[in-house]
Amino acid sequence: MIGLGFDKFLSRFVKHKAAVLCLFFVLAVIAGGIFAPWLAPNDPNKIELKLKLLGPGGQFPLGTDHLGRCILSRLLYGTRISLGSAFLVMSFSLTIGTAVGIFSAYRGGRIDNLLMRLCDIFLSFPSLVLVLVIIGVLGSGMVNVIIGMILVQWLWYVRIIRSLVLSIKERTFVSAAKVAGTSDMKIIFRHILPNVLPQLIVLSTLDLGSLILHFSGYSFLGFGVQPPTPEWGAMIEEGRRFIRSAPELMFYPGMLITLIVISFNLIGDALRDVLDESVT
Amino acid sequence: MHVLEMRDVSRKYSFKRYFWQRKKVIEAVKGVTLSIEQGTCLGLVGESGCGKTTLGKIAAGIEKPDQGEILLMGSSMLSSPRSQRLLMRKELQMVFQDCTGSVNPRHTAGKVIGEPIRNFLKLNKDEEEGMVEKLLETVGLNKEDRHKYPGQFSGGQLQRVCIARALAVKPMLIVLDEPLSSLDVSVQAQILNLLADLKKEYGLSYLFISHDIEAVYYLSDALAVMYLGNVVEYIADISMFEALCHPYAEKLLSSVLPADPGKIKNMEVKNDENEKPGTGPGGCSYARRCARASARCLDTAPGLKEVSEKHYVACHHY
Repeated sequence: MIGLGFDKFLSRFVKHKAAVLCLFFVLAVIAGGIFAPWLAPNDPNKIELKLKLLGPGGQFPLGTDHLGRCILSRLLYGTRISLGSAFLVMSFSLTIGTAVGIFSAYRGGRIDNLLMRLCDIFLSFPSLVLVLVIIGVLGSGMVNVIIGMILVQWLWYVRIIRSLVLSIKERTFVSAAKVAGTSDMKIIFRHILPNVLPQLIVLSTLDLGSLILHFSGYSFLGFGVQPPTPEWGAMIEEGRRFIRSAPELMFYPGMLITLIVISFNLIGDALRDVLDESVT
Repeated sequence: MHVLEMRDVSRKYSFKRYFWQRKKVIEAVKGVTLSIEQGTCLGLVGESGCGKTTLGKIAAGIEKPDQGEILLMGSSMLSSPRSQRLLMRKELQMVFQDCTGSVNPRHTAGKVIGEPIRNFLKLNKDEEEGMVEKLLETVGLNKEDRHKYPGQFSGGQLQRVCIARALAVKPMLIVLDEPLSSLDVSVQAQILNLLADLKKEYGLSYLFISHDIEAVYYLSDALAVMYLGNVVEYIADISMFEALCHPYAEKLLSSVLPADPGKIKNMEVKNDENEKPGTGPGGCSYARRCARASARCLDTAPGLKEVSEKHYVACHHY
């Protein structure tokens, strides 16, 4: 569908060594999240005040936090929520954004105008404010933060996808498809969607990093995940109070977020190179 | 029998108005009446921007005219019910100027050629594949080429793929919108020969849009000269080529360089294309550029009239 076979795609992707490394790292982290119950050495929520702020080693490979909980276990379980929510927000907002964006661009005219002005209105607020408003209405909590982020995020995709579709719509092969008797629906699915897909893949990988960051940010502010649930952003926020005595409490989740975001960015860059190449 | 008849077809394009700008309307095609006889090729020549392509798109059914009537084998295209329009669609195919842009870069050649087959003929997969292979051979490509992507073809090969696509559903008329201009000269001749062969073999009709007069002379049976949305001269028989007499047509002919440079007579070069075309109320659209313009030419627009058998000119001087 993308215009090159999987083996070819792979052979080109492998040339980007840093991206391959990042991909393995991301996959390892995801695997860590999925298999957390088997991998985690301790119960992530078990509080043992006698064992608080221990250094790494022994029963706790990365030490314990201020309540004596195993940091490694919390990181592993936190992956589920941090990455899972980012993927969830991404897939929902991308689907809605793509559908609306293609519809708007392909139809054109007044409906397009109306939709775009609506987008402008929402995009004129900083996304943080908008999410906070939605959380204010729905109440805080993980699900509500995810809903809020989806409601804000899809607007960005509509904009980008609309502009991509507009440029493709004017290409001659769309006219040629019309001459060949292809219906509008099929033109969208056979001609337009496959041609915006590579850009969408790149876009979504690049955005995954920032979504993880955002979600952690909301948790850090105390809107997202409620304690004691382990989540990277929430872990940073909990460690904040001990930044002088035990900086590693913030270091581990912070480092993990940084690495994951960098990894997604590098993978996205590599994907863009590989997929752009396929057309020329 | 006429394959396609266009009666008094007009198409305007209006541009978006920003602030207090005046609304701009461009009349790409102004009341054109043309018909194409079955099994023949009508050449349509004119400078860029004269409405050739728009007329071609109207003929192929991509654009709808604001005015006028289009008849395919005697039945109206615009007022037919939807189901019948779809059947008519099949009879009108088009080859575009820009062959690289007119195929989806992410589809293989087989998929490109198979597209109209899938839409119009309900065939099973094997039949479709066989048909695509046959078409590829018809246009001088290999069967194996159907697995290739457009990026892997040269310009000439890709235009062959486009021709195969247009040919796939055995249409009555193929609109050729400058099929040669994106190709280099040696390939142009090959494609031209291919088009001529296909026409003979399948009894196709063409609307051949070009600004290459020599190519038109080679392929066409009839010729229409367009200027600023009007047909200014029409000959029903290409053998009367020498008789073209409209001042614009004459000028167009004089722009063809003879093979022998010694034969170049008085070449009159005048870059007046961008001069404001005379579009005063009434008046011949060519009047401002015409060397022979008289007061009458600026006043009233000449209609297309028969000056001799099968020869129509829109000029007051004939």
